[in-house]
Amino acid sequence: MPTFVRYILIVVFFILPTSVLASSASSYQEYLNEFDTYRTVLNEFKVARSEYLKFKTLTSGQTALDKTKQMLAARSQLLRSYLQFLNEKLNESASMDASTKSLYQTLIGNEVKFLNNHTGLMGSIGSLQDAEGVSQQLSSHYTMLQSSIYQTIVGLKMAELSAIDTLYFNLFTKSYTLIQDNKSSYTPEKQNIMERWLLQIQNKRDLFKQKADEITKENTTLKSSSLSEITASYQRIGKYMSEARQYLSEGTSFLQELAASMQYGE
Amino acid sequence: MEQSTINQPSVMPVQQAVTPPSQQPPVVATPPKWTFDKRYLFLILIVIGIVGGFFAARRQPTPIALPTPTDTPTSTPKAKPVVPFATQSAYLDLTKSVASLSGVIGTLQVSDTTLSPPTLELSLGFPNE
Repeated sequence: MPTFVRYILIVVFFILPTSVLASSASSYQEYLNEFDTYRTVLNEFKVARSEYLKFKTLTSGQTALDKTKQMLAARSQLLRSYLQFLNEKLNESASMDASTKSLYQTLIGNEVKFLNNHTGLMGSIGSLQDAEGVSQQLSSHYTMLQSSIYQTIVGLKMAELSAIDTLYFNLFTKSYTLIQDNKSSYTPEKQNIMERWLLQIQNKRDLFKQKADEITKENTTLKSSSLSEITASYQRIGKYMSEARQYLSEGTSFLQELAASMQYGE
Repeated sequence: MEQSTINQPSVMPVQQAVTPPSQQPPVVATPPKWTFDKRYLFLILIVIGIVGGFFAARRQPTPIALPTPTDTPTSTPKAKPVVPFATQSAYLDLTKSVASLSGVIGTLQVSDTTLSPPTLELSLGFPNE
């Protein structure tokens, strides 16, 4: 391979991950900017609405309509920038397999399509009743949108936990193999102790697996007609994920103890 | 008439019998009952306090024998025999990897707030007209 090509490959190898990270960070910054815009426009909309409801004049009605249209556009744009950020996070996820990533990206893609269509309707708003109708379109779809968002977040976090679990299992196997290969270096009592410790480390992984199964099951059925039910389910999954992480953390502490103890024969 | 008057024995006036003065029991002068004035008690207590304080101040404090720290005999731990493979790369890699895994788990945030979706106001709040 020519030296020049080799040099290019090395440069690409080092620069590519940085650009991917920058992509996620920049989309997050963009999302935060859109959030600021939305907050400002929402406050203006609220003022215009209360003035309209108080005075009911033609001027206040026109101002309220203008501010409502701005707010609806900012709201839709905020959601799109948030979905873009989630998509970048999926792109960056090294621990998620391609098929799962594709599944979540399809979910996000569908939601972005919906929002594009929703934004397109805003041009036809000519009255406050029209604005109510367009807003209602998003409200009625919001449960599904929220469900897709939560499923993607859980998927991202579970991919991280699964990657840690794989590493954990590899280290467990290495420890087991090292002990078996050097069995003669240990006294029988020490061997018994280490076998018991290995069992406890294995148990922690089993507990993690059980919890991970519960999370996956609940995440795939994270669909409901009620937004509050979806939110409650998401919070439950969050609790399960904390427990799963705790099992891996405890198991890793055990692994550290075992590794420290492995260097002594008795 | 006058004679008769002269011859007439003179009648001695009856003297009243003199009764001796009735003897009253002698009054024994009892000495006045001594009562303790409580005001003195206060004074006595002050005096006792002053005297006690004086003696206490004059007394030399008895030196309390302080325990002097002595070295507790500790047996030096026996060096545990280290297995031969503990210095080999396989074992060293394992300990490094476990420490690294512990670090990764420590930094993992299950509830990542940056991923939280935005909270939106869905209802416009205009009454149906």
